[in-house]
Amino acid sequence: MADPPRRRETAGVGADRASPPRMPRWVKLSLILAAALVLVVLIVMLIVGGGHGPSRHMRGVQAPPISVTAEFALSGRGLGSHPSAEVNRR
Amino acid sequence: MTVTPGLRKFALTAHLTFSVGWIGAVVAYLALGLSAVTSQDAQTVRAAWIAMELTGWFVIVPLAVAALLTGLIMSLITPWGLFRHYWVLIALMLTVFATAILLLHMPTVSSLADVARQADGATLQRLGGDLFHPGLGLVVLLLITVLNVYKPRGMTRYGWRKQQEQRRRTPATTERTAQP
Repeated sequence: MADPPRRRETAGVGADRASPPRMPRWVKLSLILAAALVLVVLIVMLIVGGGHGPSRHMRGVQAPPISVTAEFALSGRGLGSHPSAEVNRR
Repeated sequence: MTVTPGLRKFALTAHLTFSVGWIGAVVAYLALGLSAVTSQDAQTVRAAWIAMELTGWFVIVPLAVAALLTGLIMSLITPWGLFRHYWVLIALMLTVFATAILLLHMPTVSSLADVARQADGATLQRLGGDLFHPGLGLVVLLLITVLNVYKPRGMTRYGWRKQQEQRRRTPATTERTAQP
C-alpha cells in the first residue's frame, strides 16, 4: 500500500474516460466465487445440522453453553470429577 | 490527508509487522490445533487448548485489531484511499470479516480451554482440535496479502469521481504526480 497509484495502474479502467469505469473482470469473478462459497457453507451447515459452538468439537460429549462452562469452571466442580459413565451418557 | 514520508514509512512498517505477525500467529495456532487433533496424550491435548486460548486472546486478537487499524490509517494517508480501488475495498472487507470471525470464535476457544483444564483423559481425547476456523482464516489472510502485493487494477466509481474532481481542481499538479 506504500507505493502511490500510478498511471499504468489506472489506465484502461476508466481513469481517463468521460464515463465511470466498469467493474473489472477479476472483481466480478471474485464476487461470484465468494457467493458460491457462502452458498456451499450454508448448504453444508443445513445438512450437518448447523451446530456451531463448543459442542461441535466434542465427540460424544455435550459441551455446556459458554457462560455455563465458565461458571462451572469457576465453581471448582470440574468436568474431571464426573464419572466417565455420566460423561458418556451426556 | 497529507503526512510526511517518514510518518508514512513508519505507518507502513507497523502495518506490515502486524499483518505478517497475524499470519505467523495463525500458523502457530494451527500447529497447536493439529496437535490437539492428532495427539493421543491427554496432557498434550490439555496443553494445546490452553496454549490456543492464550495465543488467541493475547497474540492473534491484538495483532488482528492492530493490522486492521493500521490498514485503515494507511489507506487514509496514501493516495490509494479506502473506497477508490477495488483491491483496497476487498482487502478491507476480508480483514473486517476475518477479525469479526476471530472475535466471535474466541469465546468458544476459551470455553473449550476451560473444559480441557478440568477434564479427565477420556473427555480430553474426545475434545478434538481446532482446524477449520484457523485454516479458513489463513486462506483469507493469504488472499489479503496477494491483493496488497499485486494491487490488481480497477478503480471504483467513487474513486473515478474523486479523481475527476481532483483533476478539475488542479490539473497541472495532478498530471505531474500521476507520472510513473
